[in-house]
Amino acid sequence: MMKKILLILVVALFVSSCSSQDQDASKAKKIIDYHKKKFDSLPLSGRVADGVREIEVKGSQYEWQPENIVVKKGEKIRLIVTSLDVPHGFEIEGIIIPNWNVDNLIKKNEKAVLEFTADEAGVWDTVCTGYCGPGHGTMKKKFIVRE
Amino acid sequence: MRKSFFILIFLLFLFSFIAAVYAHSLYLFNISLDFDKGLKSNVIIAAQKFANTSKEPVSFDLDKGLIMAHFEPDQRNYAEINPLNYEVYGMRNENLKHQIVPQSAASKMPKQEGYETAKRFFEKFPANVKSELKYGADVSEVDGTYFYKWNRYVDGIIVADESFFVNVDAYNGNIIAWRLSIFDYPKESIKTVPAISANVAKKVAELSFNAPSVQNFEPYLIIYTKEPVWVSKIQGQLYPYYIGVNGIDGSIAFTGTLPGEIPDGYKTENVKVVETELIKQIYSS
Repeated sequence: MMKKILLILVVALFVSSCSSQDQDASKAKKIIDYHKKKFDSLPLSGRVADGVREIEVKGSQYEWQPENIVVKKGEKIRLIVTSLDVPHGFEIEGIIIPNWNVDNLIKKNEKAVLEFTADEAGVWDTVCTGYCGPGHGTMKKKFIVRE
Repeated sequence: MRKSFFILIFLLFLFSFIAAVYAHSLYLFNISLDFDKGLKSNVIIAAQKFANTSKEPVSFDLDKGLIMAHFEPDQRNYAEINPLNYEVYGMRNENLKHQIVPQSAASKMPKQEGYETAKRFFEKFPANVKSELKYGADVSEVDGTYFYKWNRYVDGIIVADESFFVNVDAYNGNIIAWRLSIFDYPKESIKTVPAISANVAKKVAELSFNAPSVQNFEPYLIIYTKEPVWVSKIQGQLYPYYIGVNGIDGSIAFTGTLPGEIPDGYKTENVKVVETELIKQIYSS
């Protein structure tokens, strides 16, 4: 009798643990979907001409315009980065842009043209890589590549 | 053996520093302050006053919000200035370190004695700063100096990359270096109660990156910027890495390395989770 009760308890515990894990996974999926949809609802940035998505990116103390750069996976991207005030650097953390040194500074009214292909879907941070004042660390926005 | 140990430590430090440089842009070498003459001049004045010198700094670095004004090359002698108020938030002066010849004859002070020196120095800081800093018990020793560190906590949760340290020479008792982080947000504006549980955050990390969690790694809570973030560790194809999941909305806060050193054995147990309206809506969708 005692053995049976113990067995039932063990099985019940196991079932309840599995069910709790399933619930956590289900909640996690819903959270992921929510954030994915949030990004999907953002409009694509810039305009496409001759097969290249061209986006003007303006840096100033301490923001980037547009805040979020949204593109589609596989697109050829051309970013035209300018500075409106002090020198700024530009980097999309985790993405290597050919022929662009992240240590380069873009001075006021100068233009830097960065070209690359958005190979991978995901979300990256765009940051300023040149010290531009006490708020430099807050100059961080998103580069979003949609499926 | 000793030499190779220090070379290894140096390489690890260099690697983590370089990773931080490229990961966050919060640490930059050889920055120019010429874009703002007032800022440059005030930083120089504050650094010179602290170092009691009229020498011009030879270069500047950015150290997570603080400007390092170097009076000698190779990180030997610098003052760290907060550009928001031009106060000194740190320094290093290797010239205060024990010299090679006396070291052989001198006896090293116990770690506790070095701690007393560090603690006396810590006590000089304002009460509101001290009240948020908690001493971390492990004392490391590198090349004849002791390293004592206090981490910032809000409601018992560690704040990523905000700390205070003092480096005491183990032979002559001099304070070689110290540094107080800028506290990016006052504690009143920091949220500490997560809306999602550790297990849900762990699943978000696993499912987002299609990788299993590292076995025996228990997720813990940290404050990152001004929100609670669950730290999980997943097994990537090549190596394990950390995933920070925002405890308020479940978004990915960071991936890769931790945004600051976390003391060994740090845990957050019995964390109260309060589901917000947003999270309830997401769960019921």
